[in-house]
Amino acid sequence: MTPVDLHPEDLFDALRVGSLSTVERGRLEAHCESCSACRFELQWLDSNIYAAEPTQEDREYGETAFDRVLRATRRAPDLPDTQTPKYWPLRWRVGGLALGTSLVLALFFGRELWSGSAHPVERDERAVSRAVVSEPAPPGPSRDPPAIDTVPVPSPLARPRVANRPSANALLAAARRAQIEDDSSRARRLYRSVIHEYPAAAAADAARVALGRLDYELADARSALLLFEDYLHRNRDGALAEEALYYRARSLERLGRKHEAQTALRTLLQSFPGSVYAAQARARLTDGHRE
Amino acid sequence: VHSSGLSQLPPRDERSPRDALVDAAVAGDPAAICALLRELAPEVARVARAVLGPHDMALDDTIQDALLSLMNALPSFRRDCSIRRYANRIAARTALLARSRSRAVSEREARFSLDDRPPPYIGDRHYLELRRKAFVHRIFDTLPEPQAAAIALRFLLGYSLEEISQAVDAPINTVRSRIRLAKEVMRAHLENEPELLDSLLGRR
Repeated sequence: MTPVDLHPEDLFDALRVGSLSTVERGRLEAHCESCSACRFELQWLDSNIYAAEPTQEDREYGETAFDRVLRATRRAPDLPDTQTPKYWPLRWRVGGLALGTSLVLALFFGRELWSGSAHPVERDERAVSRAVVSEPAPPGPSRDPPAIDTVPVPSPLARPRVANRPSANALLAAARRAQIEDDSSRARRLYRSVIHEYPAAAAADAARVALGRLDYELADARSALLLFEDYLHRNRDGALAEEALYYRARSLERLGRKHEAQTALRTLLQSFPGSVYAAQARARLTDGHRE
Repeated sequence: VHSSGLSQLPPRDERSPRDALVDAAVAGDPAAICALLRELAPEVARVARAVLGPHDMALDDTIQDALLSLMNALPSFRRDCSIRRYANRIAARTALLARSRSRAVSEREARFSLDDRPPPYIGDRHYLELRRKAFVHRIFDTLPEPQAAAIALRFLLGYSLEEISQAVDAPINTVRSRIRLAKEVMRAHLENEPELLDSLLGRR
Protein backbone atom coordinates (compact mmCIF):
# COMPACT_ATOMS: atom_id res chain seq x y z
CA MET A 1 0.00 0.00 0.00
CA THR A 2 1.53 3.32 -1.06
CA PRO A 3 1.27 6.52 0.97
CA VAL A 4 -1.29 7.74 -1.56
CA ASP A 5 -3.57 4.85 -0.58
CA LEU A 6 -3.56 5.93 3.07
CA HIS A 7 -6.05 8.71 2.91
CA PRO A 8 -6.19 11.13 5.85
CA GLU A 9 -9.87 10.60 6.55
CA ASP A 10 -9.53 11.77 10.17
CA LEU A 11 -8.17 15.09 8.91
CA PHE A 12 -11.14 15.40 6.59
CA ASP A 13 -13.42 14.77 9.55
CA ALA A 14 -11.68 17.53 11.47
CA LEU A 15 -11.99 19.84 8.47
CA ARG A 16 -15.72 19.13 8.29
CA VAL A 17 -16.29 20.23 11.85
CA GLY A 18 -13.83 23.12 11.65
CA SER A 19 -11.28 21.77 14.11
CA LEU A 20 -8.36 21.34 11.70
CA SER A 21 -5.16 23.00 12.95
CA THR A 22 -2.74 24.80 10.65
CA VAL A 23 -0.24 21.96 10.89
CA GLU A 24 -2.91 19.43 10.08
CA ARG A 25 -4.09 21.53 7.15
CA GLY A 26 -0.51 21.47 5.86
CA ARG A 27 -0.41 17.68 6.14
CA LEU A 28 -3.72 17.37 4.37
CA GLU A 29 -2.64 19.63 1.52
CA ALA A 30 0.64 17.77 1.17
CA HIS A 31 -1.28 14.54 0.74
CA CYS A 32 -3.66 16.16 -1.73
CA GLU A 33 -0.73 17.19 -3.93
CA SER A 34 -0.23 13.55 -4.82
CA CYS A 35 -3.78 12.18 -4.48
CA SER A 36 -6.35 13.45 -6.96
CA ALA A 37 -9.26 11.79 -5.14
CA CYS A 38 -8.49 13.58 -1.88
CA ARG A 39 -7.85 16.78 -3.78
CA PHE A 40 -11.29 16.41 -5.29
CA GLU A 41 -12.76 15.87 -1.83
CA LEU A 42 -10.97 18.93 -0.48
CA GLN A 43 -12.24 21.02 -3.36
CA TRP A 44 -15.70 19.57 -2.85
CA LEU A 45 -15.68 20.60 0.80
CA ASP A 46 -14.28 24.04 0.03
CA SER A 47 -16.94 24.76 -2.56
CA ASN A 48 -19.69 23.63 -0.18
CA ILE A 49 -21.81 22.28 -3.02
CA TYR A 50 -24.47 20.78 -0.81
CA ALA A 51 -25.76 23.11 1.87
CA ALA A 52 -25.98 21.66 5.36
CA GLU A 53 -29.36 23.28 5.93
CA PRO A 54 -32.53 22.68 3.92
CA THR A 55 -33.12 25.19 1.15
CA GLN A 56 -36.46 26.74 0.27
CA GLU A 57 -36.87 24.08 -2.38
CA ASP A 58 -36.19 21.34 0.17
CA ARG A 59 -38.90 22.87 2.33
CA GLU A 60 -41.36 22.80 -0.56
CA TYR A 61 -40.52 19.18 -1.34
CA GLY A 62 -40.84 18.30 2.32
CA GLU A 63 -44.18 20.04 2.63
CA THR A 64 -45.54 18.26 -0.42
CA ALA A 65 -44.35 14.88 0.81
CA PHE A 66 -45.76 15.52 4.26
CA ASP A 67 -49.15 16.34 2.74
CA ARG A 68 -49.00 13.15 0.72
CA VAL A 69 -48.23 11.15 3.85
CA LEU A 70 -51.20 12.71 5.56
CA ARG A 71 -53.42 11.91 2.60
CA ALA A 72 -52.10 8.37 2.38
CA THR A 73 -52.82 7.73 6.01
CA ARG A 74 -56.15 9.61 5.69
CA ARG A 75 -56.57 10.21 9.40
CA ALA A 76 -53.71 12.22 10.83
CA PRO A 77 -54.42 11.44 14.50
CA ASP A 78 -53.89 7.73 13.86
CA LEU A 79 -50.69 8.04 11.88
CA PRO A 80 -48.71 5.17 13.41
CA ASP A 81 -51.57 2.69 13.19
CA THR A 82 -52.43 3.18 9.55
CA GLN A 83 -50.74 1.73 6.53
CA THR A 84 -50.63 3.25 3.11
CA PRO A 85 -51.97 0.98 0.36
CA LYS A 86 -48.52 1.25 -1.22
CA TYR A 87 -47.22 -1.24 1.34
CA TRP A 88 -49.89 -3.84 0.89
CA PRO A 89 -48.38 -7.21 0.07
CA LEU A 90 -48.35 -8.14 -3.60
CA ARG A 91 -50.93 -10.89 -3.20
CA TRP A 92 -53.34 -8.39 -1.61
CA ARG A 93 -52.84 -5.97 -4.44
CA VAL A 94 -53.34 -8.66 -7.09
CA GLY A 95 -56.40 -9.95 -5.24
CA GLY A 96 -57.80 -6.45 -4.92
CA LEU A 97 -57.24 -5.77 -8.59
CA ALA A 98 -59.00 -9.01 -9.55
CA LEU A 99 -61.90 -8.24 -7.22
CA GLY A 100 -62.19 -4.70 -8.54
CA THR A 101 -62.16 -5.89 -12.15
CA SER A 102 -64.83 -8.48 -11.37
CA LEU A 103 -67.01 -5.84 -9.73
CA VAL A 104 -66.65 -3.44 -12.65
CA LEU A 105 -67.50 -6.20 -15.13
CA ALA A 106 -70.44 -7.38 -13.04
CA LEU A 107 -71.80 -3.84 -12.76
CA PHE A 108 -71.31 -3.22 -16.45
CA PHE A 109 -72.99 -6.39 -17.66
CA GLY A 110 -75.73 -6.08 -15.07
CA ARG A 111 -76.48 -2.56 -16.25
CA GLU A 112 -76.44 -3.54 -19.89
CA LEU A 113 -78.82 -6.43 -19.26
CA TRP A 114 -81.10 -4.16 -17.30
CA SER A 115 -81.14 -1.29 -19.80
CA GLY A 116 -80.85 -3.39 -23.00
CA SER A 117 -78.44 -0.90 -24.61
CA ALA A 118 -77.34 -1.50 -28.20
CA HIS A 119 -73.88 0.11 -27.71
CA PRO A 120 -72.23 -1.55 -24.74
CA VAL A 121 -68.63 -1.01 -25.80
CA GLU A 122 -68.99 2.73 -26.32
CA ARG A 123 -70.65 3.25 -22.95
CA ASP A 124 -68.11 1.12 -21.13
CA GLU A 125 -65.22 3.13 -22.54
CA ARG A 126 -66.84 6.32 -21.35
CA ALA A 127 -67.40 4.99 -17.87
CA VAL A 128 -63.88 3.62 -17.54
CA SER A 129 -62.26 6.79 -18.80
CA ARG A 130 -64.27 8.84 -16.32
CA ALA A 131 -63.22 6.57 -13.52
CA VAL A 132 -59.53 6.64 -14.46
CA VAL A 133 -59.24 10.36 -15.01
CA SER A 134 -61.14 11.13 -11.80
CA GLU A 135 -62.10 14.52 -13.11
CA PRO A 136 -65.67 15.82 -12.99
CA ALA A 137 -67.59 15.20 -16.20
CA PRO A 138 -68.14 18.25 -18.40
CA PRO A 139 -71.50 19.89 -17.90
CA GLY A 140 -74.08 19.31 -20.58
CA PRO A 141 -77.35 17.56 -21.23
CA SER A 142 -77.20 13.80 -21.31
CA ARG A 143 -79.93 11.27 -21.36
CA ASP A 144 -77.65 8.55 -20.02
CA PRO A 145 -77.70 7.96 -16.31
CA PRO A 146 -74.40 8.82 -14.65
CA ALA A 147 -71.89 5.98 -14.55
CA ILE A 148 -72.13 4.09 -11.30
CA ASP A 149 -68.50 4.70 -10.43
CA THR A 150 -68.84 8.46 -10.83
CA VAL A 151 -71.68 8.83 -8.35
CA PRO A 152 -70.28 10.63 -5.28
CA VAL A 153 -69.76 8.21 -2.42
CA PRO A 154 -70.92 9.71 0.86
CA SER A 155 -67.98 8.29 2.75
CA PRO A 156 -66.68 10.39 5.62
CA LEU A 157 -63.16 9.20 4.79
CA ALA A 158 -63.32 10.03 1.11
CA ARG A 159 -64.60 13.59 1.48
CA PRO A 160 -61.60 15.31 3.04
CA ARG A 161 -59.26 13.56 0.65
CA VAL A 162 -61.04 14.95 -2.40
CA ALA A 163 -61.28 18.36 -0.79
CA ASN A 164 -57.54 18.48 0.03
CA ARG A 165 -56.28 17.24 -3.26
CA PRO A 166 -55.74 19.83 -5.99
CA SER A 167 -57.11 18.75 -9.33
CA ALA A 168 -54.87 17.88 -12.25
CA ASN A 169 -55.89 21.04 -14.07
CA ALA A 170 -55.22 23.19 -11.01
CA LEU A 171 -51.73 21.69 -10.66
CA LEU A 172 -51.09 22.18 -14.36
CA ALA A 173 -52.21 25.80 -14.18
CA ALA A 174 -49.96 26.39 -11.18
CA ALA A 175 -47.04 24.83 -13.03
CA ARG A 176 -47.62 27.09 -16.01
CA ARG A 177 -47.82 30.12 -13.76
CA ALA A 178 -44.52 29.14 -12.16
CA GLN A 179 -42.96 28.73 -15.58
CA ILE A 180 -44.18 32.15 -16.67
CA GLU A 181 -42.68 33.57 -13.49
CA ASP A 182 -39.34 31.94 -14.39
CA ASP A 183 -39.48 29.66 -11.36
CA SER A 184 -38.26 26.60 -13.24
CA SER A 185 -37.70 24.37 -10.24
CA ARG A 186 -41.21 24.96 -8.91
CA ALA A 187 -42.67 24.47 -12.37
CA ARG A 188 -40.82 21.18 -12.71
CA ARG A 189 -42.04 19.99 -9.36
CA LEU A 190 -45.64 20.84 -10.17
CA TYR A 191 -45.48 19.24 -13.61
CA ARG A 192 -44.08 16.12 -12.00
CA SER A 193 -46.89 16.14 -9.46
CA VAL A 194 -49.46 16.18 -12.26
CA ILE A 195 -47.72 13.25 -13.96
CA HIS A 196 -47.36 11.25 -10.76
CA GLU A 197 -50.75 11.90 -9.23
CA TYR A 198 -52.92 11.86 -12.36
CA PRO A 199 -50.94 9.73 -14.83
CA ALA A 200 -53.96 9.01 -17.05
CA ALA A 201 -55.40 12.52 -17.14
CA ALA A 202 -55.22 14.74 -20.17
CA ALA A 203 -53.45 17.30 -17.99
CA ALA A 204 -50.66 14.77 -17.39
CA ASP A 205 -50.09 14.50 -21.13
CA ALA A 206 -49.85 18.26 -21.38
CA ALA A 207 -47.48 18.21 -18.40
CA ARG A 208 -45.25 15.60 -20.07
CA VAL A 209 -44.74 17.77 -23.11
CA ALA A 210 -44.39 20.99 -21.13
CA LEU A 211 -41.87 19.43 -18.74
CA GLY A 212 -40.05 17.94 -21.72
CA ARG A 213 -39.76 21.40 -23.28
CA LEU A 214 -38.57 22.82 -20.00
CA ASP A 215 -35.94 20.11 -19.56
CA TYR A 216 -34.86 20.58 -23.15
CA GLU A 217 -34.41 24.30 -22.62
CA LEU A 218 -32.48 23.64 -19.42
CA ALA A 219 -30.16 21.31 -21.34
CA ASP A 220 -31.45 18.13 -19.77
CA ALA A 221 -31.97 16.49 -23.14
CA ARG A 222 -32.12 12.95 -21.89
CA SER A 223 -34.85 13.64 -19.41
CA ALA A 224 -36.69 15.59 -22.12
CA LEU A 225 -36.37 12.66 -24.50
CA LEU A 226 -37.90 10.26 -21.97
CA LEU A 227 -40.85 12.59 -21.44
CA PHE A 228 -41.54 13.10 -25.15
CA GLU A 229 -41.33 9.36 -25.76
CA ASP A 230 -43.65 8.73 -22.85
CA TYR A 231 -46.16 11.16 -24.33
CA LEU A 232 -45.89 9.66 -27.84
CA HIS A 233 -46.24 6.17 -26.45
CA ARG A 234 -49.57 7.19 -24.94
CA ASN A 235 -50.77 9.61 -27.63
CA ARG A 236 -49.32 8.84 -31.01
CA ASP A 237 -51.87 11.12 -32.67
CA GLY A 238 -52.53 13.44 -29.75
CA ALA A 239 -52.92 17.16 -29.97
CA LEU A 240 -49.31 17.69 -28.90
CA ALA A 241 -47.83 14.90 -30.99
CA GLU A 242 -46.27 17.28 -33.52
CA GLU A 243 -44.49 19.20 -30.82
CA ALA A 244 -43.42 16.02 -29.06
CA LEU A 245 -42.08 14.52 -32.28
CA TYR A 246 -40.17 17.64 -33.21
CA TYR A 247 -38.60 18.14 -29.79
CA ARG A 248 -37.88 14.45 -29.49
CA ALA A 249 -35.80 14.85 -32.64
CA ARG A 250 -34.09 17.94 -31.20
CA SER A 251 -33.34 16.09 -27.99
CA LEU A 252 -31.82 13.21 -29.94
CA GLU A 253 -29.66 15.70 -31.82
CA ARG A 254 -28.40 17.15 -28.58
CA LEU A 255 -27.53 13.71 -27.34
CA GLY A 256 -25.48 13.13 -30.46
CA ARG A 257 -27.85 10.52 -31.87
CA LYS A 258 -27.97 12.15 -35.30
CA HIS A 259 -29.27 9.19 -37.25
CA GLU A 260 -32.21 8.66 -34.90
CA ALA A 261 -32.89 12.39 -34.97
CA GLN A 262 -33.12 12.32 -38.76
CA THR A 263 -35.52 9.40 -38.61
CA ALA A 264 -37.64 11.25 -36.06
CA LEU A 265 -37.79 14.35 -38.25
CA ARG A 266 -38.86 12.25 -41.22
CA THR A 267 -41.56 10.62 -39.11
CA LEU A 268 -42.81 14.08 -38.20
CA LEU A 269 -42.95 15.13 -41.86
CA GLN A 270 -44.71 11.93 -42.87
CA SER A 271 -47.25 12.01 -40.07
CA PHE A 272 -47.88 15.77 -40.06
CA PRO A 273 -46.85 17.23 -43.42
CA GLY A 274 -48.71 20.44 -42.66
CA SER A 275 -47.25 20.86 -39.18
CA VAL A 276 -46.01 24.20 -37.94
CA TYR A 277 -42.75 22.41 -37.32
CA ALA A 278 -42.53 21.01 -40.86
CA ALA A 279 -40.46 23.87 -42.29
CA GLN A 280 -37.98 23.69 -39.42
CA ALA A 281 -37.81 19.92 -39.72
CA ARG A 282 -37.05 20.12 -43.44
CA ALA A 283 -34.44 22.77 -42.82
CA ARG A 284 -32.75 20.66 -40.18
CA LEU A 285 -32.77 17.64 -42.46
CA THR A 286 -31.07 19.57 -45.25
CA ASP A 287 -28.79 21.69 -43.09
CA GLY A 288 -27.00 18.82 -41.50
CA HIS A 289 -28.97 19.04 -38.24
CA ARG A 290 -27.08 21.91 -36.65
CA GLU A 291 -28.45 23.89 -33.76
CA VAL B 1 -9.63 14.17 16.28
CA HIS B 2 -13.13 15.17 15.49
CA SER B 3 -16.41 15.55 17.25
CA SER B 4 -19.11 13.53 15.63
CA GLY B 5 -21.89 16.03 16.22
CA LEU B 6 -23.83 13.59 18.33
CA SER B 7 -25.78 15.33 21.02
CA GLN B 8 -26.20 13.91 24.46
CA LEU B 9 -29.50 13.89 26.24
CA PRO B 10 -29.73 17.05 28.37
CA PRO B 11 -30.77 16.82 32.01
CA ARG B 12 -34.47 16.68 32.62
CA ASP B 13 -34.79 20.25 33.94
CA GLU B 14 -33.01 21.74 30.89
CA ARG B 15 -35.31 20.19 28.35
CA SER B 16 -36.65 22.49 25.69
CA PRO B 17 -40.16 22.43 24.18
CA ARG B 18 -38.57 20.69 21.23
CA ASP B 19 -37.38 17.87 23.50
CA ALA B 20 -40.87 17.62 24.94
CA LEU B 21 -42.25 17.35 21.42
CA VAL B 22 -39.77 14.59 20.60
CA ASP B 23 -40.63 12.78 23.84
CA ALA B 24 -44.32 12.93 23.06
CA ALA B 25 -43.79 11.74 19.49
CA VAL B 26 -41.62 8.84 20.63
CA ALA B 27 -44.30 7.94 23.16
CA GLY B 28 -46.82 7.79 20.31
CA ASP B 29 -48.79 11.02 20.68
CA PRO B 30 -50.38 11.47 17.22
CA ALA B 31 -50.41 15.27 17.29
CA ALA B 32 -46.75 15.35 18.30
CA ILE B 33 -45.85 12.87 15.57
CA CYS B 34 -47.59 15.09 13.04
CA ALA B 35 -45.82 18.21 14.25
CA LEU B 36 -42.44 16.52 14.36
CA LEU B 37 -42.79 15.00 10.89
CA ARG B 38 -43.76 18.38 9.48
CA GLU B 39 -40.72 19.94 11.11
CA LEU B 40 -38.33 17.27 9.86
CA ALA B 41 -39.76 16.98 6.33
CA PRO B 42 -37.40 19.62 4.82
CA GLU B 43 -34.36 17.83 6.22
CA VAL B 44 -35.61 14.53 4.82
CA ALA B 45 -36.16 16.22 1.45
CA ARG B 46 -32.67 17.74 1.54
CA VAL B 47 -31.05 14.36 2.10
CA ALA B 48 -33.12 12.60 -0.56
CA ARG B 49 -32.40 15.32 -3.11
CA ALA B 50 -28.69 15.17 -2.36
CA VAL B 51 -28.49 11.41 -2.77
CA LEU B 52 -30.82 10.99 -5.74
CA GLY B 53 -30.06 14.21 -7.56
CA PRO B 54 -32.41 17.14 -7.81
CA HIS B 55 -34.54 15.95 -10.72
CA ASP B 56 -34.94 12.24 -10.14
CA MET B 57 -38.42 11.02 -10.99
CA ALA B 58 -38.46 8.85 -7.86
CA LEU B 59 -37.71 11.80 -5.62
CA ASP B 60 -41.25 12.52 -4.43
CA ASP B 61 -41.90 8.88 -3.61
CA THR B 62 -38.58 8.55 -1.82
CA ILE B 63 -39.23 11.54 0.42
CA GLN B 64 -42.64 10.15 1.22
CA ASP B 65 -41.16 6.71 1.95
CA ALA B 66 -38.53 8.26 4.17
CA LEU B 67 -41.14 10.18 6.14
CA LEU B 68 -43.16 7.00 6.62
CA SER B 69 -40.02 5.11 7.67
CA LEU B 70 -39.20 7.87 10.11
CA MET B 71 -42.72 7.75 11.52
CA ASN B 72 -42.47 4.01 12.02
CA ALA B 73 -38.97 4.28 13.51
CA LEU B 74 -39.82 6.96 16.05
CA PRO B 75 -40.51 4.46 18.87
CA SER B 76 -36.96 3.12 18.36
CA PHE B 77 -35.32 6.51 18.80
CA ARG B 78 -32.72 5.99 21.54
CA ARG B 79 -31.54 9.60 21.80
CA ASP B 80 -27.96 8.73 20.97
CA CYS B 81 -28.05 11.58 18.47
CA SER B 82 -30.30 14.53 17.71
CA ILE B 83 -33.70 13.82 16.19
CA ARG B 84 -32.62 15.71 13.08
CA ARG B 85 -29.62 13.45 12.68
CA TYR B 86 -31.85 10.44 13.23
CA ALA B 87 -34.16 11.65 10.46
CA ASN B 88 -31.13 12.36 8.32
CA ARG B 89 -29.89 8.78 8.70
CA ILE B 90 -33.25 7.25 7.91
CA ALA B 91 -33.65 9.47 4.88
CA ALA B 92 -30.15 8.59 3.70
CA ARG B 93 -30.83 4.89 4.05
CA THR B 94 -34.15 5.18 2.20
CA ALA B 95 -32.64 7.26 -0.56
CA LEU B 96 -29.70 4.90 -1.01
CA LEU B 97 -32.12 1.99 -1.29
CA ALA B 98 -34.22 3.88 -3.80
CA ARG B 99 -31.13 4.73 -5.75
CA SER B 100 -29.98 1.15 -6.02
CA ARG B 101 -33.41 -0.33 -6.53
CA SER B 102 -34.54 -0.04 -10.06
CA ARG B 103 -32.75 2.67 -11.89
CA ALA B 104 -30.61 2.10 -14.91
CA VAL B 105 -27.30 3.90 -14.94
CA SER B 106 -28.17 5.76 -18.09
CA GLU B 107 -31.37 7.10 -16.57
CA ARG B 108 -29.52 8.44 -13.59
CA GLU B 109 -26.87 10.05 -15.72
CA ALA B 110 -29.60 11.75 -17.68
CA ARG B 111 -30.46 13.85 -14.65
CA PHE B 112 -27.22 15.75 -14.96
CA SER B 113 -26.99 16.42 -18.68
CA LEU B 114 -23.33 15.54 -19.01
CA ASP B 115 -23.58 15.18 -22.76
CA ASP B 116 -25.01 18.59 -23.36
CA ARG B 117 -23.42 21.91 -23.59
CA PRO B 118 -24.64 24.11 -20.78
CA PRO B 119 -27.07 26.84 -21.74
CA PRO B 120 -25.37 30.19 -22.16
CA TYR B 121 -26.94 31.67 -19.06
CA ILE B 122 -25.33 29.08 -16.77
CA GLY B 123 -22.09 30.51 -15.44
CA ASP B 124 -18.78 28.66 -15.36
CA ARG B 125 -18.88 28.14 -11.61
CA HIS B 126 -22.37 26.69 -11.69
CA TYR B 127 -21.43 24.48 -14.60
CA LEU B 128 -18.41 23.19 -12.73
CA GLU B 129 -20.61 22.41 -9.73
CA LEU B 130 -23.00 20.52 -11.97
CA ARG B 131 -20.10 18.53 -13.38
CA ARG B 132 -18.78 17.76 -9.93
CA LYS B 133 -22.18 16.57 -8.75
CA ALA B 134 -22.53 14.49 -11.89
CA PHE B 135 -19.07 13.04 -11.35
CA VAL B 136 -19.83 12.01 -7.78
CA HIS B 137 -23.14 10.44 -8.80
CA ARG B 138 -21.45 8.62 -11.66
CA ILE B 139 -18.87 7.25 -9.27
CA PHE B 140 -21.73 5.89 -7.13
CA ASP B 141 -23.01 3.98 -10.12
CA THR B 142 -19.70 2.25 -10.68
CA LEU B 143 -19.11 1.25 -7.06
CA PRO B 144 -20.40 -1.78 -5.16
CA GLU B 145 -23.26 -0.82 -2.86
CA PRO B 146 -21.35 -0.67 0.45
CA GLN B 147 -18.69 1.61 -1.01
CA ALA B 148 -21.30 3.72 -2.79
CA ALA B 149 -23.21 4.17 0.45
CA ALA B 150 -20.06 5.21 2.31
CA ILE B 151 -19.10 7.75 -0.34
CA ALA B 152 -22.66 9.09 -0.58
CA LEU B 153 -22.84 9.67 3.15
CA ARG B 154 -19.36 11.19 3.15
CA PHE B 155 -19.62 13.51 0.16
CA LEU B 156 -23.29 14.38 -0.03
CA LEU B 157 -24.23 14.47 3.61
CA GLY B 158 -20.88 15.25 5.26
CA TYR B 159 -20.91 12.28 7.63
CA SER B 160 -17.80 11.58 9.70
CA LEU B 161 -16.27 8.11 9.73
CA GLU B 162 -17.95 7.39 13.04
CA GLU B 163 -21.34 8.51 11.81
CA ILE B 164 -21.04 6.40 8.67
CA SER B 165 -20.05 3.48 10.85
CA GLN B 166 -23.22 3.92 12.91
CA ALA B 167 -25.43 4.55 9.89
CA VAL B 168 -24.36 1.47 7.94
CA ASP B 169 -23.79 -0.63 11.02
CA ALA B 170 -20.20 -1.55 10.16
CA PRO B 171 -16.91 -1.21 12.09
CA ILE B 172 -15.10 2.05 11.57
CA ASN B 173 -12.10 0.34 9.94
CA THR B 174 -14.42 -1.34 7.47
CA VAL B 175 -15.79 2.08 6.57
CA ARG B 176 -12.25 3.38 6.20
CA SER B 177 -11.45 0.50 3.88
CA ARG B 178 -14.57 1.07 1.80
CA ILE B 179 -13.70 4.72 1.36
CA ARG B 180 -10.14 3.84 0.39
CA LEU B 181 -11.36 1.44 -2.29
CA ALA B 182 -13.88 3.98 -3.52
CA LYS B 183 -11.19 6.61 -3.78
CA GLU B 184 -9.08 4.29 -5.91
CA VAL B 185 -11.97 4.12 -8.36
CA MET B 186 -12.40 7.86 -8.09
CA ARG B 187 -8.74 8.45 -8.90
CA ALA B 188 -9.00 6.30 -12.00
CA HIS B 189 -12.06 8.19 -13.17
CA LEU B 190 -10.52 11.57 -12.46
CA GLU B 191 -7.83 10.78 -14.98
CA ASN B 192 -10.57 10.66 -17.61
CA GLU B 193 -12.05 13.96 -16.53
CA PRO B 194 -9.42 16.44 -17.65
CA GLU B 195 -11.71 19.38 -17.08
CA LEU B 196 -12.22 18.52 -13.43
CA LEU B 197 -8.55 17.76 -12.93
CA ASP B 198 -7.54 21.00 -14.59
CA SER B 199 -9.83 22.96 -12.35
CA LEU B 200 -8.39 21.23 -9.32
CA LEU B 201 -4.85 22.01 -10.37
CA GLY B 202 -5.83 25.54 -11.20
CA ARG B 203 -7.26 26.22 -7.79
CA ARG B 204 -4.42 24.79 -5.80
